[in-house]
Amino acid sequence: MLAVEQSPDRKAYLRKRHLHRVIVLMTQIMLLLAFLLVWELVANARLIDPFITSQPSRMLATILRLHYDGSLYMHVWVTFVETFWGFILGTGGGFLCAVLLWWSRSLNEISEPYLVVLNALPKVALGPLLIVWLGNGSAPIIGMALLISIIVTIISLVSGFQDVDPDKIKLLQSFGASRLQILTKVVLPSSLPTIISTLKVSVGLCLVGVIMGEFLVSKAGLGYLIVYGSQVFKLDLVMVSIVILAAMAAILYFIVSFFEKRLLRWQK
Amino acid sequence: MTAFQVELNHISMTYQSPTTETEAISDICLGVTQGEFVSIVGPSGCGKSTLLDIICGLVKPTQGSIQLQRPVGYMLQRDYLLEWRTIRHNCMLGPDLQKHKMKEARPYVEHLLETYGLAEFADHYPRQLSGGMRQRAALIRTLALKPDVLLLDEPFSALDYQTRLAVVDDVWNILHTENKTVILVTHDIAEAISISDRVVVLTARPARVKTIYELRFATADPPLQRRQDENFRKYFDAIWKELDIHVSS
Repeated sequence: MLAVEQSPDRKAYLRKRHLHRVIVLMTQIMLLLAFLLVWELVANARLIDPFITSQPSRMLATILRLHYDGSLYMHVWVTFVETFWGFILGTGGGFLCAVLLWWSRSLNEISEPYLVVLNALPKVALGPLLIVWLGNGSAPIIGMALLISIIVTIISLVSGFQDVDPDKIKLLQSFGASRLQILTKVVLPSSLPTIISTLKVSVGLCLVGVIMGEFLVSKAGLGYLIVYGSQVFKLDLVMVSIVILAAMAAILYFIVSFFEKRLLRWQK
Repeated sequence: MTAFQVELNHISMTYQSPTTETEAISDICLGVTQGEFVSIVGPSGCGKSTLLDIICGLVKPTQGSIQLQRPVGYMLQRDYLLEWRTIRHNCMLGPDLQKHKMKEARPYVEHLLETYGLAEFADHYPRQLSGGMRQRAALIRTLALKPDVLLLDEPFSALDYQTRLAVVDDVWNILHTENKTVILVTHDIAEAISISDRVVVLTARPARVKTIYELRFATADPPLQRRQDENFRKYFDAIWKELDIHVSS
């Protein structure tokens, strides 16, 4: 890189831009801190009942207690593993189905009404069935995550595959490419942005499925903690679980974003 | 043993759709000799592109037969360089799809990149190149499998006018040096006259051969200089009248 002398206008522009970013970030942090502070003070002054609403200091104590007895990590791990398998099976299965539907136009036409109905059906309604069929371990929970993510994955991937410029496919055909080569050399690479955005949506949906599954049947996990906490009226535990869940959702999202940046370097 | 490198025998093409049947091409016969540059012009929507698809073997004609040496190179209206591949990788697309040709194609593509001034951009991605350079890369990609016959489907239409004149010269030079047989489809009469040995004028749909012009110029000038030739105007007027283009009132 050459060190280029920057004009005063450019310097001013960069400084302004930097300042703007700092202000946005600071405001975001301040908003959160102010919210926590007001919550704490209002609860201390008994304007709200901390028995029902909890309060930051009590949540912190709960986190520390869960940290020392080690159960925090056990519950997080259970939810993480269930989400992981739901995601792998849901996106993997969804991807395979999408490729199949791209490959065969007839199959795509035949499956269309079923996909539309399955997409509209609230998957949580199938929960009781899953429990009867798969028992009361992790299986029905993973099953729920899979059901919630797979249909959306199939629908958005198929439409992404079909959006590929037909002339690019024609170009490959003029070189005598097989259908498999068209898939791997053009359709998949040009759908990469769609694939990644589908993964982002899917990882969130899997978490939804896992928590719903844990609400219905579970002995561990963050969803279990939330239900258990509300039943024994330990709202501190419920709040803490929600906060940890939010953190987990953010981390999963950033993991997918990380892969997005690496895979889509040619766009930059 | 025919004297022609490409021979179209009574090609007809009819499209079927749920609502109707469309006759796109009717009984076209054409022979093109080795090293010849033939342009096909005709009213828009007359089935010129379909004709190239048929010659390339992508579409089977309803009737008639084609004789030619495969593989043929096909250049489309836009460069369609794949954004996620580098220029070198894009140029190697054909050999990449026909694995056994990889070995012999690699040095040839490097040679073409070198000769036509893209060597230093070989590791760039397409969006980093200008329109003219992208078009040159697309041409090298088309040449990579050493086709004897090239089919060009308005390959310059996506370029702005200035770039276009330069690129036409560029492409003509490359194809002339590599001694290729070329069939170009275009709606630009001036472009057709400036670059070809023969111009085939088609009728409106269904396309038939209306007239064939053997172009005679003083020398084998590059396209840009041909536009100065006194015959250029003459041919232009003749083909313009032939096409009989009306602006509907």
